[in-house]
Formats: sequence, structure tokens, C-alpha cells
Amino acid sequence: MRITLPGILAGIGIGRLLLGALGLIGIGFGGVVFFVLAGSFRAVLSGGLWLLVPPVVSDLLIMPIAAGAGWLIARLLPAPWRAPVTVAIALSVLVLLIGWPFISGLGVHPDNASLLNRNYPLGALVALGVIWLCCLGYAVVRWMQGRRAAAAGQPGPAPPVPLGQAGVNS
Amino acid sequence: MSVRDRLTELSEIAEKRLPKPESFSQRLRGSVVTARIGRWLAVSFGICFLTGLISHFVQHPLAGPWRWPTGPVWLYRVTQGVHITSGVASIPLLAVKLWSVAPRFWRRPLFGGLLDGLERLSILVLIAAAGFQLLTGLLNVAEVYAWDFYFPNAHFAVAFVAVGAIILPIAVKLPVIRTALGEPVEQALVPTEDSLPAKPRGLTRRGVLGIAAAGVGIGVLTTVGDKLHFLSPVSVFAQRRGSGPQGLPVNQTAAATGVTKKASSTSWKLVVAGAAKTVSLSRADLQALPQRRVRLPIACVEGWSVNADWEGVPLSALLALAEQEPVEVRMMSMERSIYGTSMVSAQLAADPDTLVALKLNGEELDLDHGFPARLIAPNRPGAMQTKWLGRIEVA
Repeated sequence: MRITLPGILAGIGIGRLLLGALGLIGIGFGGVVFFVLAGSFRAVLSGGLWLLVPPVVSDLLIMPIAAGAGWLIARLLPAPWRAPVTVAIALSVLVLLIGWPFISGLGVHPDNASLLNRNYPLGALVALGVIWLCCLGYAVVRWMQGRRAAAAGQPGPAPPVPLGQAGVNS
Repeated sequence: MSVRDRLTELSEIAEKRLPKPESFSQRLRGSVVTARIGRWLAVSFGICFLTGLISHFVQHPLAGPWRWPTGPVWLYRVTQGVHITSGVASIPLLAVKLWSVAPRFWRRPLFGGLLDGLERLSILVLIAAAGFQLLTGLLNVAEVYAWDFYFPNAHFAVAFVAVGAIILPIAVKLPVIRTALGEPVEQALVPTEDSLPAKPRGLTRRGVLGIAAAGVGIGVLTTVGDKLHFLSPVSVFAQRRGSGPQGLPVNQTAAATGVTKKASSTSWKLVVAGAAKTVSLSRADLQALPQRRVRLPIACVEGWSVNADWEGVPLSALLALAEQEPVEVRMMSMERSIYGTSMVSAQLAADPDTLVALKLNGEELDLDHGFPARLIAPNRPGAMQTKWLGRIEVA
């Protein structure tokens, strides 16, 4: 069902409009509730600061580092190793994104031995070890397959040519 | 040099020095990837939001007659376990999604007018609110309270902002999303001359999706072990190993709540105040009454849960001593905090499995578990299983 609206909203279906309105209502409602329940200016300020942490850290810190890492991988590693190492680094980062508060030990309560009672640094090392073992193991297996194919005199699989992008395959 | 000339010069320098969208690898990105990750994120975030609302309204019921049901006994255990797990699963998904759209932050013009500014603002709100939810949620589970606001209130409020901020761009970009979901992930590959199967070398878009999926899988496996105990050996980031005094973990100790002296006092009595009559029962009085045994879990709001065997006096029997029919009652702890009081609905008070517990797993209740007496009821958040009871009264 189309309704006629002026300007930029022209031609938008009613379903989309309702969805968009729902989104705006959610944002507004949440914002109001945030201030109402905050209880003090200090709480509002603290909340505001913590709300800014994700965009600031991700856009101005993590993204540049990720871009730099990608550039380094392309420069330093031979082609067959790039994908496995990229996957290993990506999974390591994702795992540490979840594990860092536990590894930090900041939440431990001295009076409660049933809380946060695992060896988190050791566990993290094990998890990372498994990730890197799997990725590098896969790279080694692929490399050995390539060598076996070369020794048997067969040409290895040639790089494919995606439609419309002849010659580009980095 | 005038201010305007200076600004023009600065913007030209910025234009040259700051990254452009083309500076980032486009081979692995694109709306085909973003739309698919977005779909998974919408599912996990949606589940997280709904289970979060359940947890909120169990603890803060709205005005009106409807109350959280008394059964199945494991329901809250499951909804809260799903809440934490879906939140953890959303972390890798949000990270990969942000990576895939990051180049657009640097699109030109950097300040493109009102509409462009509004779009940038809405994305800022999305990253801020969704990130806030996952960050504070994770830090709450890790017990790192590095802020000055009351977590449950802020987390509840920002949930609506995050969900609204996720729905808004979906509504705006719906046609693009539909198209992207219909396109294949990889461009068609031309087979080589010797007609061997073309195998793309290097990381592919499918690989990016695989990384996201593996991130979710690893994230869940490393944290779910305090809910699904058979996975505890691999859950290296689980909040708890599942052990504790009398085989049950503790959230708030007696020492931390300052209740040790009152709870250990030999002159302690439980006051049960009906509408017409009030009775005072010592621990010996409670032990002399007919006991009932139940097997019920402690299901913490932080996601962990462990089953335990409890023994004590049914709440309905205590109310009967005070000549009180089961109605909505207030359980009051000797602990002075927000969690020192909880409301028990009429149906729950009437339920024979709702006990004032004196024993846990065959032993006298440990001080940290609520000695001399605590509430244990089916399908109830751990924070509402009031410990160190002092008084029960009609609400």
C-alpha cells in the first residue's frame, strides 16, 4: 500500500514507515526512561560517557588497528598463509573481546570464593592455542596438498577470474 | 588570512590526509555481507531483548493482576540463560558488522548536510546503544562495576534505544537489504581453462561470514558452562565453575551484606504477620513443623544456575499458622539493601513447593546461603529468593 507523501518520504510503503516510526519511538522512549530512572546527574554523566565508549573505541582505535594489521599481513606473509593467519587473528580478537573482563580479574570479590573461580588467563591461552593450532594446521595441510599435487606433476588449481574483475585476486 | 580561508585550508588538508572508503579493502565487504551479518544480529539481539524484558518484568511487575507463572520450575533459568548467551553471541556479530561498514564512516563529504548528518547520528546512536548494552552486560557478568549508574536501570532504558536504533536503519534501507539478501555471497567464478574446479585463493566473503559464525560458536562455548554444566570444562570464560558452600555458588555473602551478627543470633525469630494474627517462630519451632523436600534451582540474573535439594516449611503452612490465606506477601530479609525485600504472588505463596528453607543439600543452611532461613520458590530469579529472613507480612 502506497500513500503519497511529500519530498524524501514519497513512495515509501506503509510497513516501512511504521517500522521506522517504531524505531524512533524506541529511541525516544528509551532516552526518556534513561533520564527518569537515572536518579542523579552523576548517573546521567556516567551513562553518557559509557555510551560514548563503543563508537570512540571502535572507530578511532580498533578500525585503524585492524586496517594496519591487514596491511601488515599483506606485506609480510606469503600468499598461502594470509587467509589462515587472518582468520586466526580475527578469532583471537573476537574471543578476547568476550574474555578480557574475566582475564583482568577486576571483578573478583575476596569474600566470595564461588565467584569468578576459574583460571581465566590459562583458559584464554588454551582457547587461543586451539584457534591458532586449527588455523595453522589447516594451512599446513593445504600446503602439503599443494606439494603433493606439484610432485605428481599436476598443475595446482589456478586462481579463478571473477566476472568483471579480470586479473584482480589479492 | 580570514577564518573562512583557514577553514577551507584545513578541510583540504583533511580531504588529503584522512582515510577514504577506498582505503579499505572492498573485496571482502559489501552489502551482501553486511545484510547477512545484520540478519543474524537482529535475531540474537531480538532474543536478548525479549528475554531481558522478561527478566525485568519478573522483578518489577507492572500494575495489574497478571503475575509471572509459578511453573515450569526451570522457566526463568532458561530465559535468563538464553539472555546472557544471546548477548554474548551478539558481541562477535556486532564487531564483524561494524568492521564491514566502517569504511563508510570516512565517506565524502564528511559533513554532507542535514540528511547525511541525521544518518550519521542514527548510526552513532546504534553503535553507542548496542555497544553499551553488550559492554555493560558483559562487565556485569564479570562483576566489574566501573560506573556510577545503577546497572539494572540503565541497561533496561538503553535496551529500547538500541532496539529502536537497529530497527530504524532496517526501515530506511529495507529495499537494499532485500536485494542484498537475494544476491549470492560470492561473485560467479569463471572456471579455468583446464576445467579444474575453481577454488578461490585467500580469504573470501564466505570466509568473513564463517569467521562471524565461528566467533559466535566459540563465544558461546566459552561462556555457557555455568548454565549447561556438561560444557563447564571448555567454558574458560564462564563466570563460575559451579562449586560453592554446600555444593551451590553464592552471589552475596553474609559478610558483604553485613548481616552476620543478626543471622547468627540465638534469639532470632521469624515473624509471620497475617492480616489478623501475628506469630513469632524460633528456629526450633520451624524445625518442629512438618518439613517438605523440593529440588529447585538457583537461577541468577547473571545467567548461571545450579539445581539443589532444599528442605523446609511450606510458606502456605506458615501463613496458615497466622490464620492467613495465601495472598501476595512481602518477604523481608535482615539485610538492608534493595534485595532485602521481595514480593511473592498469591499463586506462588499457595504453591506447595514454595518453602521457607532450613536445609540445603542435606545440611543445615550455610550462613552465606541465608541461615537461619531463606525463601526458595519455583521459577524465580535468584535475587528474589530472599535470604536471612526476618519477617513475612501481607503486602
